[in-house]
Amino acid sequence: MTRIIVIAAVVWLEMIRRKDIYVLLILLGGLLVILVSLNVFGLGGTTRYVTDIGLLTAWVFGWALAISISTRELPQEEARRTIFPLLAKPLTRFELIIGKWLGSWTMVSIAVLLFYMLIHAVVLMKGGKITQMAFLQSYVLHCFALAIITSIGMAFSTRLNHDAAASISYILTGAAFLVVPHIPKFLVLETGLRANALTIIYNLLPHFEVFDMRQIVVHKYPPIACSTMAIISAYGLILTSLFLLVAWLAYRNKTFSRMDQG
Amino acid sequence: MPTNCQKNKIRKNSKPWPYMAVLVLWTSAFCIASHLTTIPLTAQSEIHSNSVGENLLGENRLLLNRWLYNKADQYFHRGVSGKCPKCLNNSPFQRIDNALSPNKHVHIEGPDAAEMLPWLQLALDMNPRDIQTHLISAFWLANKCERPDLAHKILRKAQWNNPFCYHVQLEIARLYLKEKNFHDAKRSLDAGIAFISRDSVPSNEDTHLAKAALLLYRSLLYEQDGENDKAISGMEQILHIFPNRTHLNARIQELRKGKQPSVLPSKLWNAILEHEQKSRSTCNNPEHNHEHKH
Repeated sequence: MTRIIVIAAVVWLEMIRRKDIYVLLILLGGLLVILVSLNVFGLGGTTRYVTDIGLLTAWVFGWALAISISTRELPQEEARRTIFPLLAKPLTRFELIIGKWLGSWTMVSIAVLLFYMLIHAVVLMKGGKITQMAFLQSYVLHCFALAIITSIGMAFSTRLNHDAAASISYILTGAAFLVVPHIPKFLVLETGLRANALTIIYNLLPHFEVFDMRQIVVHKYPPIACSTMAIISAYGLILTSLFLLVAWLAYRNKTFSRMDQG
Repeated sequence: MPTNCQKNKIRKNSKPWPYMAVLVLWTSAFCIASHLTTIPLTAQSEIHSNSVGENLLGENRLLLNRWLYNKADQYFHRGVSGKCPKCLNNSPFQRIDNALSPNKHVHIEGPDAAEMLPWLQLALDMNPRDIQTHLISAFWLANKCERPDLAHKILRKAQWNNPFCYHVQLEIARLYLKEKNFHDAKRSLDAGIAFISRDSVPSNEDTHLAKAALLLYRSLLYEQDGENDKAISGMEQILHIFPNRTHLNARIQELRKGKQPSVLPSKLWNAILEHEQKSRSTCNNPEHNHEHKH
C-alpha cells in the first residue's frame, strides 16, 4: 500500500508543478464572473443558470483533465526511460498501475472539488441557495464517474502512446456521455438487427448519465435515496475495477525496449 | 556581477529593431485589414444586425436559439425535458436514471418563475428576430414577475427587430389594457389590424386567431367610447372569420338597438385577459404527461 501511495504522490507533485488545474480554475472563475454579470432583462436575483452552466463546465473540465492526466502517466515514464529504474525497484506492475490511477483520480477529484467550491461560493454571493446534501451527493457521484474515466484512460495508455490513448478515451467516453443516454429514444424507431445492435451498445458502454445529478441540484429537488446512491456507487466501483483489471492484463507482460523512442 | 561578455550579450539582446519590426508589421497588417474588410464600418445601415450571436455564429445561432429556448422550457417544467421512451423502462440504467432525473410534471411558480428568464435572454441574444421568445419573455415579466415596465421594454425591442409584427402589437395592447392605458392600447390595436390586413400575411389559423383577438379588443374599446357602428363592424368581421362565435350576434343586436349589453366591455376584456393569462401559463405540450402537481 505504501508503494502505491508513493507512486500516487509522484503524480500529485507533478500535477502541482504542471499548473493545468490552476488554469482551468481561472477559466471557470472567469466564466462564472461573466455569467453573474449577465443583465437578465434588468431583473436580477436569478442564480440557477449560474449553477447549471457552472456544473456543466465542471463536468467538461473534469472529463478533459481526467483523460489528459491518466493517459499521460505511463507513456511519459516510458518516453523518459524512467520506467526501467521504476520497475527495477521492488514494485509490481499492478502496484504501478494502481498508484498511477490513484494519483490521477485523487488529483482530478480535488480539482473538481475546487470547481464545486467556487460554484457554490459564487451562487451564495449572488444570493442563491443550493441544497447542501444534494450538492454533496452530486460531487460524490461525479468522483465515481471520474474514477471510471481515469481507469479507461489508464487502460488505453498501457498499450498506446499518450496522444492515441487520449484520443480513443475522449471518443469512447464522449460517446458514452452523449449517445448512450439517447439510445432508448432510437430504439423506439428501430426493429430487428439494428435494435439488437443498439441494445448491445446500450448495455456494453459505461452509463455516465447515472452519475449526473445536475438537474437535482439545479432545480432544488431533495437528495436521492441512500439505496439508489449505493447502487450507483457499486456500479462505479465495478466499472473502475474492470478497467483497472484490463489495464493490468495489458501491462503485466508488456516488454520494453531501450531502443524505443517512446 | 555580470562579466563584460555577458554585458555585451545583454546589450546585444536589448536592441530595439525586433520591437520596431513587430510594430511595423502590426501596423501594416492593420492597414491592409482595414481595406480588406467586407463590411463597411461607416455605413451602419448596411449592417443587418447588432446581435453578437448573429455576427459571430452566422446561421448556427438559430440552432443555439432553439436549444436555449428548450432549456427555458425545461426550467419551466423544473428540469423535466420530455416524455421518457417506454421501450427500455425495465432496464436497470433507465430505472436509476428515472430516480436521478426529475420526472414529475410540475411547473415553476412564484419567485422561481424568473429562473427561466436568463435562458430566454440568451435565446434572444442569439436570434433577436425570434417573436415567440420575445412574447413569452414579456408575458412572464408582466404576469409572473410583476414587472410590466420590463415587459414593455422587451416588446419595444421586439417591435424594433420585427417592425410589422401584429403579434407584438397585440401583446403591447394587452399590457396597456391591463394598465388601463386605453389611448395607447387603441393605437397598438389599430397598428396590429393594419399589419395583419397586409396582403403579404399568409392566412392560417394563427393569423385568424390573432386578427379575431385584435378586432375583439378594438371593438370593445369602440363600444366603451360609444362608437357602436365601428364596434359592430369589428364584431361582424370576427363573425366572418369564425362564424361559430354566435355569442357575438346577441351583442351586435343589442348594440344595433342602442341598448347597453348586459356585460360591460371593460368586464368582458378583463375576463378575456384573465382567461388568456391562465391558458398561456399552462403547458400545451402533448408530449408531456399531464399529471400536474402545482
